[in-house]
Amino acid sequence: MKLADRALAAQVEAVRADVVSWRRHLHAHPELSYQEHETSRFVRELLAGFGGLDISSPTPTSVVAELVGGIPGGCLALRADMDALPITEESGSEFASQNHGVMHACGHDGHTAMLLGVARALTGLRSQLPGRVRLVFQHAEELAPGGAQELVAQGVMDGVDAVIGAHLDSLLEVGRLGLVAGPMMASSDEFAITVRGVGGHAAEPEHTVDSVAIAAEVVTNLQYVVARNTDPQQPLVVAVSKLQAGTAENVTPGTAELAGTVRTFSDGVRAAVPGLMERVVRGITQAHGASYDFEFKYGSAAVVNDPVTTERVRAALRRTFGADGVVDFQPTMGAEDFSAYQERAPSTYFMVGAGNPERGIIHPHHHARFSIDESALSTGVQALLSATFALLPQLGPDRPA
Amino acid sequence: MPRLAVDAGPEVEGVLADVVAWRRHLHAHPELSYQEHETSRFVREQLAAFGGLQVSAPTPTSVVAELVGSRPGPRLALRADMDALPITEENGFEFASQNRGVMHACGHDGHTAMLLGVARVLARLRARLPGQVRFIFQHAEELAPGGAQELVAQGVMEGVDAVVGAHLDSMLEVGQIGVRSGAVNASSDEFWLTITGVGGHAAHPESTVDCVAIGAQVVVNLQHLVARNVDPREALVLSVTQFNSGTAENVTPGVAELVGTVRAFNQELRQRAPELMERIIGGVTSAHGASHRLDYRRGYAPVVNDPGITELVARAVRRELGAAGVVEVQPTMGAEDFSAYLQHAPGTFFRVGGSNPGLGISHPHHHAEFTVDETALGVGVRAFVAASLELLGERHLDRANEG
Ligand SMILES: [Zn+2]
Ligand SMILES: [Zn+2]
Ligand SMILES: [Zn+2]
Ligand SMILES: [Zn+2]
Repeated sequence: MKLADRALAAQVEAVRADVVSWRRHLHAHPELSYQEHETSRFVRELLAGFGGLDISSPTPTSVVAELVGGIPGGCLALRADMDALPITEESGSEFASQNHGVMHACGHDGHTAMLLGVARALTGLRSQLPGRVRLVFQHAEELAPGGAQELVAQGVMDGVDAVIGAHLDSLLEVGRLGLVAGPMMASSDEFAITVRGVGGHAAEPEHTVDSVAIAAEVVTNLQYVVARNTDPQQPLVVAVSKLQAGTAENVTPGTAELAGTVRTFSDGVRAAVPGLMERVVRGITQAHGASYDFEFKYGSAAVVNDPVTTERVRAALRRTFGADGVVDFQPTMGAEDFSAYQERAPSTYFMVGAGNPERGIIHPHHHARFSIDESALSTGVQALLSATFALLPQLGPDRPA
Repeated sequence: MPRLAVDAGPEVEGVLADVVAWRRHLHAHPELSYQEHETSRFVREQLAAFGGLQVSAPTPTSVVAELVGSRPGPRLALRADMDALPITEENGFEFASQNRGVMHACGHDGHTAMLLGVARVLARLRARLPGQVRFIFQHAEELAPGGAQELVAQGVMEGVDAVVGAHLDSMLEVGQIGVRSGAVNASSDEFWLTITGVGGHAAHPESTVDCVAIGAQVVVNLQHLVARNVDPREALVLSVTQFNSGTAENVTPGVAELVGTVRAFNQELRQRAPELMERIIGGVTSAHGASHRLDYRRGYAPVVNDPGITELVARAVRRELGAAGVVEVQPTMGAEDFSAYLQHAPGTFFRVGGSNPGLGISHPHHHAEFTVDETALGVGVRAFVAASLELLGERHLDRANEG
């Protein structure tokens, strides 16, 4: 393995400068979810230049490239997301967004550049590659329903034996990698509730069914779903993030509109929540003579890492970066549509530290001053390559038991 | 027997056709609150033509006319409001609004026409009347802060011993006059409440202070004020009519804006309402680590009729219309700025029935098809004239010559 590690390190070193410049180009030209036209063209052109890759576009703004190694084996998918956010950049860097109101504020520019670096490194190591690698450059991670499920429906996971993804993390120190087996990121579902009362003059409550007061009762009683109705050991968030009702001081409105999000790691809790919520909404509205509409939209599932795959990757990363370089990642209630791939193959998703408080790189993701320490990019490329060479020999038809 | 031996009958009969014509003219040319320019000009011109009245304009769109009787006596104020509403009329009659989007949907056209009629009748009886009558044609009843308090500030209630007003009522049968002593219209105050939490990602409740959930708790707990905190015999309405917070499914907003109205008949209860609200809101928001700002704005005071004046008016109207013509009405939680006059002199505010379901006249006030049976106008003029003669004949009302 020493030889392979040294060969990998050399490949990483060879692409280091290009990865940084690709990332800067992408950072200056961010595109919103489902609109990654220039980004995907840029990716396709670079991949074509590397040679030896079988390139396709399963959807208008995504790119998939397949590399068949010199040694037969299984198939590993590596995924990067490419979309930016509707945020006006305030970083002040010389490669700041040239597309006003759109910003790579989540680090997907870095993800794309890293996976391009991995692609070029792997084409250089092709003869030593024990199996096939499918490089998935995904569109629209930030916007429901998300590009991942669309690509899965297009068959990008067909024949895949394992899948890996990584996310830069500005709150994790640069140089470190964060892993966790089991639940890592929460499911993310949305709901919309309309409380239908009877509008009328606010001075005559006896002639109205007050949608504002009843909506308030609904919000208040929905807290029971988290506090009293579900397993206290299963993390759950039910957040009503919107409540809109009424237009005038002296008119009781006939309807109130509520909307919000539900997050959990547990499939069981996730399946139970819509029923529990609707029971509360039905009971409260009925109690006060109102009616309701309840809509629950399933979004992305929880990111849950396969323990075996995660431990294999953790062991490989420890060899490459030392025990100090690999830390336990605390699960977060944030969501990721990487879960769509996980439903098709064993997988792990890990974090690549990119924060550097000494250099003022401390802003959270989706912040207008979000940035990364660019040395994280080489760390990410090397980690993905290490994981690839650690996992591939274990995959495929004649993998070890 | 009325104390004044004055027969107003022929003068009243003589003015009724004009009252209907004036009302139709005003109905066709409605003007919004504070914009009653043509309306007030029309009123001023009619009053000038009656003769014997001192006409003034305390504000740009109001008119006051003073009638001085032939001998000392009580000083009486009679009030009509003149403004229309931002409603598009859906009535098909030929005198429907010619001013699109503006409509006399509360009957103030009728109030103005009736008071013009009363002014002409009393002006012609001047030589036989004691005391003084001040006719107040008020602007802007429908829009806070209201014209009444402005006219009071201009001195229209100075020296007044009693004040009488009336409102047409499309829910009361035509031919009837509705009276009541004590409270008849509620106060109307408004509040604006801002609840400030800490916004953030909806997936991270531990780093937000959720103003939607806290605002909901505030609305829920405010119900205690009506249900558990006040004397159950006192009517009180607290309505939260607006709740605005949040823009996205996955972002917990930092601020919730709530708006509402408070109505009461009891002035003392009304005074306490903001303090009780402040206690509930302060407690609930601080319990959950949020802060708040309550902006409580006083609107119209409750209309509380003086029992003595109300009884005198009821007696006179009963004599004029017969016992069946006067009914006791229930108070309404709707508000009226006539209360501003009542802070300065005892008085009464009565209702003039205008409904006639047989003719399809049954729509509520502020409705696009609101109207009144015009025979109500004559009944109103007769009631006003009878009430005026009754009160002018009451020596004890004359505070200036008391003792
Ligand atoms: Zn993001
Ligand atoms: Zn992201
Ligand atoms: Zn009105
Ligand atoms: Zn009115």
